[in-house]
Amino acid sequence: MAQECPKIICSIPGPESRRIVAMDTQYLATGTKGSPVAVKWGKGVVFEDLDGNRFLDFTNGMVAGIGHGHPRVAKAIQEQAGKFLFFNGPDFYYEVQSQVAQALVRVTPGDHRKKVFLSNSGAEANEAAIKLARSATGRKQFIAFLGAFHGRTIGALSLTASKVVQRETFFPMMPGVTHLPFAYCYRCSYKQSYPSCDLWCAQILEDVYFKSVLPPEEVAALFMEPEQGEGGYVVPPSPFVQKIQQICQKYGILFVADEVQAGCGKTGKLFAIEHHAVVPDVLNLGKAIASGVPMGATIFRAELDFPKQGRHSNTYGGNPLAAVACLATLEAIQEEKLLENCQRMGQRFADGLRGLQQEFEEIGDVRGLGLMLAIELVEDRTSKEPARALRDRVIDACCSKGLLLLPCGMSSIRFTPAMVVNAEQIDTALGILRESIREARASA
Amino acid sequence: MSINPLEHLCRVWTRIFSVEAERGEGIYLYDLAGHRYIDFTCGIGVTNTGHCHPKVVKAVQEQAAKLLHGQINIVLHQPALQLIKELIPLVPEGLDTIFFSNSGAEAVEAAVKLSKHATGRTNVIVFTGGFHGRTHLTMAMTTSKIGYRLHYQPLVPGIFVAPYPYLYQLGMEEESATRFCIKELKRLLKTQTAPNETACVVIEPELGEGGYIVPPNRFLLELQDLCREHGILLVADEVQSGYGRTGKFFACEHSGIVPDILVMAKGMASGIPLSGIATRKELTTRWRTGSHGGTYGGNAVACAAGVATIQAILEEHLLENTTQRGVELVTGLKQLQGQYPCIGEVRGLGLMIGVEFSKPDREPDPITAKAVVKEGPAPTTT
Repeated sequence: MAQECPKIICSIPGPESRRIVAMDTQYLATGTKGSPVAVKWGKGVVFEDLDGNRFLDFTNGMVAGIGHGHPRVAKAIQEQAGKFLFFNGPDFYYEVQSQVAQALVRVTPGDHRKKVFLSNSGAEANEAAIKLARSATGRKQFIAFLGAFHGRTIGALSLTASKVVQRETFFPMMPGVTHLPFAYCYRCSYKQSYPSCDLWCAQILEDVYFKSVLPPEEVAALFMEPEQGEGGYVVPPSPFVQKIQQICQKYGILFVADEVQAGCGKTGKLFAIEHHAVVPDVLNLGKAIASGVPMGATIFRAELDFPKQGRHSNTYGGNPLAAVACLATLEAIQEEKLLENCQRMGQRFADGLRGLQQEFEEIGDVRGLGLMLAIELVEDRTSKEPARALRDRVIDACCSKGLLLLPCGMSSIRFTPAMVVNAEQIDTALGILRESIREARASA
Repeated sequence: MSINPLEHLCRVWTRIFSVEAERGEGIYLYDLAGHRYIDFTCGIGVTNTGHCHPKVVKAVQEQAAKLLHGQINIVLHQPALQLIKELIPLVPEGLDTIFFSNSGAEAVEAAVKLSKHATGRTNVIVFTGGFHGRTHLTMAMTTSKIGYRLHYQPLVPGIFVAPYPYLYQLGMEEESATRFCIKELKRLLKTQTAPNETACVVIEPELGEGGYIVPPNRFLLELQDLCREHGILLVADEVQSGYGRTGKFFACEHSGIVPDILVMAKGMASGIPLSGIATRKELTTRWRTGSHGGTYGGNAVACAAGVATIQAILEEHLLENTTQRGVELVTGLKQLQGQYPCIGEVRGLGLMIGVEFSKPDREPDPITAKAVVKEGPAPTTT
C-alpha cells in the first residue's frame, strides 16, 4: 500500500477526530492521552485518522513491533477465531498454548531448561516474576532501579520508579523493594563519568547496600530493563549489567530482565539483554510479543518452577488468539529478516539524530539501541536542565505535520517505529523533526 | 512568666482522673491534700507488691548509689545476673534463657524478632481483643480497640488474627468455644498464612486490655498442640497477667501450657521500667548475636528492683494472698451482680478481675462502665 505519507489535509484534530476526543473525554477514565489523534486504519508504519490525515507512526512499534495490520498476524488471528476464541488455558491443554511456550523457550537467551508463565500484560509478567522469585528462593526482598518502569499493579508498581505521578496517592506499596540509581550516564547520580567511575553504581550494591541496609541473603530477585523504557530509553554500559549480574550470582539473587518494552526485536537483537552478553534467570515480555493482542510472558529457569499446582495462575494466560499472534510475530521477524532491517534503519535513524544534535544545542543526548531510540532535550548542554516545555512543543509540532511521537523520561522523546520502517520513512521523519525543533525553539 | 505545666502536658494521654498523686503506700495513693485513695489499678498491673514496697525502695536506693547504668552489651553487673538467678526457677520449666528490655511492647518485639530468626518464617498470628503494645509492630498485633491503630495504618504486614475464646460474647460454653476457636485457627492456617510461613502465635493467657477474659484451659492446651505440630512457636504475652497477678507467678501455670517464649513486663520491677522474655537456649542459638539489643535493657536499678520484687512476692506469700483476696473480691462482685443486672459477667483469675457491664442482650454497656469509674477511684475500664 504505497501511499503518500504524511498527508495532512486539515488541522489536527479534524471534526471527526474532535468528536471522538470529546466522547473519549466524557466516558473514559483519565489516563495518559496526549496528541488528539483518532485512528481509522493502520498499516505498517502508516495510519490514517478519521478525517483522512495520514501519519507516520513512530510510537506504536513499542507494541505493533512488526507494523500495523501485519498480514501474517491478521491471518493467524482470523483463522484461530474461526476455531475457538477461548479455552481455559491455565486449566486445560491445547496445541498453540504449548507451541508458544516452546517457541519462547527456544528464542530466549541461554541453553538451559526453561519454562514459561503466560499472562496478559507486562505488569502481569512482572507480578509473576515477583511471585516466582519469592516462591523459588524463599526470600522476600527485591532490588530495582530508579527510572525503571515495570507496571502499574501494586507489586509491579512497587518496583517502578520512573515518575512520581505513577505512585502518588497509591501508597502503601508492596514492602521490600530497594531502589538503586541506574547507570544513566548522561545524568550520573554520583556525578561521575564512565568509564573512570569504575562502575561505582554497580559496586555500591555490594559495598554499601548489602552492608548497611539490605541483607543480600534476603533478596529474592533484582529487576532490570536492559534498556530502560518509560524512564528515558537509557542504555546502561554492558559492563554495568554484567557486574550487576555477577553480584546477583554471588549472592544467589535472581536476575530478572524486564524486556516488556525492549524485547521482541526492537533493539536490533531479539532481546536487548543479548547486547550485554548476559543470560538472565528470568525474562519478562509484553507489549510487542503478540503484535497488539494482549499478552505477557515470564520465561524462567525450569528449576524455579512453582512447586505446587495452584500457587499462581490466571484466566486468560495462553489465550489462543494471543498465542497464534505471538507465533506469527516471531515467524515474521525471522522470515522477513526484520532484525537486520531494524539494525540498518536504527543506524540510519541514529546517524540522522546525531546530525540534528550537531545542529541543535538543545539535543543534549542521543541514545538507544536499534529502533528504540531517544533524544533528550535540555535548556543548555552545561546545566543539562531538562527542557520539558520545548520537548512537548516539538511533539505537538511533529503531530501537526503528520509524525506521531511519544515522550519519555524527564525531557526525552522516544522513537519506536515498527521494524518494517524503510529508509524513506526514516528520512521523512528526520525532516519533520528538524523542522519541528526549529519551530518549537522559535515559539519559546 | 509562670508556666502551667498542665497546659504543656501532651493531650495524647487519656487522663481518667484529675488526682495528683504525691505518694503511695501499699494499696493506697495519697494526693497533695492528703486524701487517701484505694488503688485497684496498680498503675495497670505494675505495682503488684504495692506502692513503694520497702524492700523495693531500699534496693533501688542502694543500687542507685552504686551503679545507675551499666550497658549490658558492654559490661555485666550483679543486679542483672541476680535477677536471672531469681527468675529461672519461676518461669515455666524448660525456659532457661532471659533477654531484658524496658517495656512490654519492646519485649513483644523481641519475642517476634526471635521467632522470625529461630524459624526462618515471617508471619505472626494473634487473637481478637489482644493488646501487645503501641509500637508499629505491636500496634499491628493489637486488636482490642480501633483507637490504637486509627490513622496509623499501614502497619507492619504479615499479622493474622484468629478469634479469642471470649465465651461471654460468643455465647458459648467452654467446649464449644474451644472447638470453634481451634477450627477457625486451623482455617486461618489453610487460607491466609501457611504453617511454613508462620513464625509464632502470640496469646495473652488471660486477655488484659481486651477485657480480662479467661480462655478455657482446654483451648490453650490444644493451641499448644497445634503449634507444636506445625513447628510454630507459642508466645505467651504475660505483660499484664504475669508476676503473680493471677495468683500464680505466671498465668500459663493455670492451664499448664509451656510457651516457647514468655513475655513479661509491668509487675517485674514494681514500677521501674523493666521487661524481658524467657525462652529456650536452643532457640536463641539461632538469634544472630548483634541482631537485636537495646541501650537500657537490663538496667542495673531496674534489675535490683526486679530482684527485690521477686523476693517480696515469695517471702511475703503474696501469691497465696492474691488467690485468697481474689476469691473474696469475686464473691463480693457476684453478689453485686445479683443486685445489678447491668453487671453481665464477673470473671478473672487471682486479682486480675473484670466486670463486664452489658445490656440484657449482652451488648456492651460502656456508658454505665464509665459512670461507675467516674464515681471515684475504682478499677480501670477495660
